[in-house]
Amino acid sequence: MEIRPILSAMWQNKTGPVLISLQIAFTLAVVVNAMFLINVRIEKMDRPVGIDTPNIYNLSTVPTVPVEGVRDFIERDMAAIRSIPGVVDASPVLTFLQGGSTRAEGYRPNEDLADANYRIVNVNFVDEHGLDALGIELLRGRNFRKDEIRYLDANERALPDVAILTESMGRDLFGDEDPLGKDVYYADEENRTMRVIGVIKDVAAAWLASDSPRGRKTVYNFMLQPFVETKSGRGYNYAIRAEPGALNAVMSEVEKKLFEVDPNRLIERTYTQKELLARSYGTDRAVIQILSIVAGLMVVITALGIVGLASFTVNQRTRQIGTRRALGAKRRDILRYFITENVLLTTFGVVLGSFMAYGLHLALFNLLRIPKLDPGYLPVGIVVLYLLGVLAVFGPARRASMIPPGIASRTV
Amino acid sequence: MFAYNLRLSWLSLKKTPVLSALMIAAIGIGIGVCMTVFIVYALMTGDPIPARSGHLYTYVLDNHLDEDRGPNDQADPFVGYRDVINLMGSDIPVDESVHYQSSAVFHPDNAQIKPFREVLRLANNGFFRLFEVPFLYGSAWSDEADTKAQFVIVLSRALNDKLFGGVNSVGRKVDVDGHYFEVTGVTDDFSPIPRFFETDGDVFDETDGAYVPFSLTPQLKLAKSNGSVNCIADSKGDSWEDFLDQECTWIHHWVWLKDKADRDRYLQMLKNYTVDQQQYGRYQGEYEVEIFNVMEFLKYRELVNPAYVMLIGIAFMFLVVCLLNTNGLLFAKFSGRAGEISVRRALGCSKKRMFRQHLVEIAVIGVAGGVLGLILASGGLLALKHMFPNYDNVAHLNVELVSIAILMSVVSTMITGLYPAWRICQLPPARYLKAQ
Amino acid sequence: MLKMENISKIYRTDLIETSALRNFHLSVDAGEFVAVTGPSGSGKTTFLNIAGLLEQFDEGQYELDGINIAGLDDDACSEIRNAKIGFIFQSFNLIPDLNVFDNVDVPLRYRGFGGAERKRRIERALETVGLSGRVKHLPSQLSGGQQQRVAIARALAGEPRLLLADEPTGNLDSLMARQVMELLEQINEQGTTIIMVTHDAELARRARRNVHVLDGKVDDYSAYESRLEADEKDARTTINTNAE
Ligand SMILES: Nc1ncnc2c1ncn2[C@@H]1O[C@H](COP(=O)(O)OP(=O)(O)O)[C@@H](O)[C@H]1O
Ligand SMILES: [Mg+2]
Repeated sequence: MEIRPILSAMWQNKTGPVLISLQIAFTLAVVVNAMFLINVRIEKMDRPVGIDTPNIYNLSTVPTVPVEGVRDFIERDMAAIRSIPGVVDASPVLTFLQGGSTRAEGYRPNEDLADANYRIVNVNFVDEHGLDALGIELLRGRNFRKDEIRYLDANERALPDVAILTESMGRDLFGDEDPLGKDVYYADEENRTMRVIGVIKDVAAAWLASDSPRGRKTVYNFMLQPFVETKSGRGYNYAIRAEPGALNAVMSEVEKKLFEVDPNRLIERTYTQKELLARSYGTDRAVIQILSIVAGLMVVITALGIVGLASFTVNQRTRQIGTRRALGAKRRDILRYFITENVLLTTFGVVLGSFMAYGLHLALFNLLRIPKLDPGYLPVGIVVLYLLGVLAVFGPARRASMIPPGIASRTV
Repeated sequence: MFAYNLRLSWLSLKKTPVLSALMIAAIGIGIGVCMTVFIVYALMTGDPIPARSGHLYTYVLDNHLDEDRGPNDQADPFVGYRDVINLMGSDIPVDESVHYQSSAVFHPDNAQIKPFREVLRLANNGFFRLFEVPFLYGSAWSDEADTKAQFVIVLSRALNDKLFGGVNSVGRKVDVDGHYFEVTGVTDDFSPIPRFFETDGDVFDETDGAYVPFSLTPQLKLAKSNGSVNCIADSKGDSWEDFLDQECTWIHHWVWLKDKADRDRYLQMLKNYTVDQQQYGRYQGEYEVEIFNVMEFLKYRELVNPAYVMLIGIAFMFLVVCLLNTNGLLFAKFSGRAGEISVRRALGCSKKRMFRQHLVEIAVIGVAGGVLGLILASGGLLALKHMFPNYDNVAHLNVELVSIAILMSVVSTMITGLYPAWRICQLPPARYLKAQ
Repeated sequence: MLKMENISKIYRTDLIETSALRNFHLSVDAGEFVAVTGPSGSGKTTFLNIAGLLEQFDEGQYELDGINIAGLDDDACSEIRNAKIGFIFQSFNLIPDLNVFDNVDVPLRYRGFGGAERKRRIERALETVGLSGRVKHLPSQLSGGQQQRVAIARALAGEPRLLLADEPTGNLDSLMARQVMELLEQINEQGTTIIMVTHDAELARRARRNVHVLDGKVDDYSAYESRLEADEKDARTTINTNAE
């Protein structure tokens, strides 16, 4: 390999190579960190959410003329919805899961009032159809019975006798002990308790998109209580689960049916569970998209820079290349010359860029409190940049190799 | 002379169309990306009410209600109903606003339009004065309407369009949740970004709907609908009255204070108040009383996701790469011209004039890049609006931003171009005439 | 050494066809020193390019050192150029970014010699042209004559059988031109066949044989041959006195 003469030739025209190397270094730093940040977020968005997201949708309905028995109103709606073919099940809920409003409460595993260490939990209400309507998997214990379901009066802040919680919530409260059958204490002076009758597979809390350490730690702290909210504030919220593929048909059928049951109502805030999840992860998606675009454009710009500079040098060196050919260089020797030159440039770039990537990572680490960089991204970024460089220089290099040797003896 | 320089620049750009296009594209893309990210960031962190932001204050009476305050790790800056009633009417502030967001069902007279739910803010008339809400028709309701809890309403422009086809509806009645309200005014578009005066719920969302007197709160029993309510559980009853009496924080209270002295006085008054309340068994143990003006408050609420700060940094690195790119290409271009320059220099063109000629050429590239950058930035903003409807309010170009973009492009291109131009003008006139 | 029969070369552009060589005949024996003269545009460079395998020809037969050239592929041509032919150009064609040593090194690298062998050859070639002391200089730091001598060293380093020179003195003043000419004669002495295109009648006369090209054909060169013989002795004495 003719590395030494290539290096000394580069040394004669340092500026261009230095600029390209710097560009490669910056690009590596950004691309490696972007890949990492994107992956952190993709991993976050890929976490299981514990419900049958693709087949669930939610709606909120409210009577426009006051109704006497809200309980009857809701029960009639439920019966109507559940009778629709294609509907797996439905349940009233306190808030739509994993999308928007939240009820967060504090609980502790014992009656020790001095223990200020409440566990934060996202509480939601369901009736005895809730597990089915949300596609939640019951691991141990039992579901709510129909007779345990209570319809709460307006603004009532009651506590149930029984509750169902996630595995993670159980672990947060009781460590390795099985929470089933244990009492959970509500965080008030009166030490009201509820008994754990069921343990479900982890369901993500409404703050699942939170990046704060506390939010991340409590992401699966979720509890179901056997209540139905009847306060009409913003209407009654229903979660409806359809058979796979039937969601769209079910959505219009449900609306029709509900208006049949009671025409004096509003049906609003109809969201598929997918929409809600997407909305929760809105910022993450924005960041992923912007990062991908920026990193992608950066790669393109760098490639264009390499192409531009290489084309230019090829033009400038036409005579020199002809001379080399006259002196016995084969086409592939010329090709190899330019590719070697580029590989050397890339090498300077990635060496500098590796340090910069690490520096940038430290800055981001302090800013975003994200986990430490997985060192595996750096080699990937380096390989990408080598490939990019070779690809970018290949066109101009091929053009160079096509320069006829006869050029050498023709005066310009 | 300048025209001659311009013409030479144009000829020179045309002579190397690929290099010129690459340079302009690099700068354009760099500026475009940077502008897009920067505009979003600037609007998100900007002062939503510049004329007054230093005078509007809100406060936190943190009596540790929200031990379980959730994932945000900070006390929510809301006030309980009891405290609001007690604290309103202090003589220290010039003016004040209490408000919270709810929603209610509107029943249009026009049977064609089905009943629909809309945002309804319960507010005192100070809200309109404090936050400079513009009026299209009529005005806010009177002080009397506030004190006597009259059924009056202010509609937003959009709602007025929907209910009354956009005509002046002052004096007409609207059925909301079964109550008739008389319209006193219609607001014009009002969307400070972010919506600092109620920093819970979706603060980059649009603010529409209607306003009714806050004094109707006990009567209307409208719960807060967008945002958080923090309560300490107790065994009081479950009625709306009990709720209002409970230790919950959920209402926004903003005051307009003349100067620093008044701020300190108000803070002292708040502290005195909490001490005074201890006789009722409230504000026990350790607690904090803090007061914030608008910008301090936005910072306290960490409204801007640090991810955006990161994007700004990365966008600037991107611009640096684009400029390095252009710099390299400029070097290539100018050095390809070494022969011509030697000849011109030999023919008596002074170094200074040569340099000026190059600067003009660089500036031309800069302006072209800036224009391309603007086109890309508007495309970028359009894409953002498309991807994230919430940004609708956030993302728009104005004269100021356009000039910033062009200026940024020209200045950064000039800076990067300075060195190549200087280098090339240092060439001795003879060198390239020799032996070629 | 070199035998061309009936060689034709036509340059085609979009608009016109230029017939650069027509029925070109020439045969050169090993060890000859041939000067090619002729008016500008007559096809001298074209001939040299074809002779040196830098360009293809359209018709005819060309045999170089016993190898039939027609039909050789690009790589084979490159190898022959590299091993058997040395080139000297009017405008030197040194690589401006490489110093003297690296310039002479260029063809040797393509030849695939090891480092020590290359070094030995470079040093010897530079010694021959009298530039041993300038190895670290860049072309731009040398005079025209020195540059051309570096180019000659580069052509010599591969110990070619055939040296092709296209107006090697065209860019030099007469003193430097004479030095270069003497160098070429010295090289020819040692057995290398040289074909040199020149404008300079005086230099042409010093060659052993003259070929006059006119309109892409070899023109009646017997007339030159007699003149050449007369001048031969002169040329030799000059070499001895002027060699550096
Ligand atoms: N690449 C080319 N394309 C077209 N015509 C050419 C080309 N090279 C040489 N010619 C033409 O061929 C003829 C011979 O050129 P050349 O061999 O360079 O002449 P000389 O070296 O004797 O001056 C000239 O008419 C010239 O214009
Ligand atoms: Mg010629």
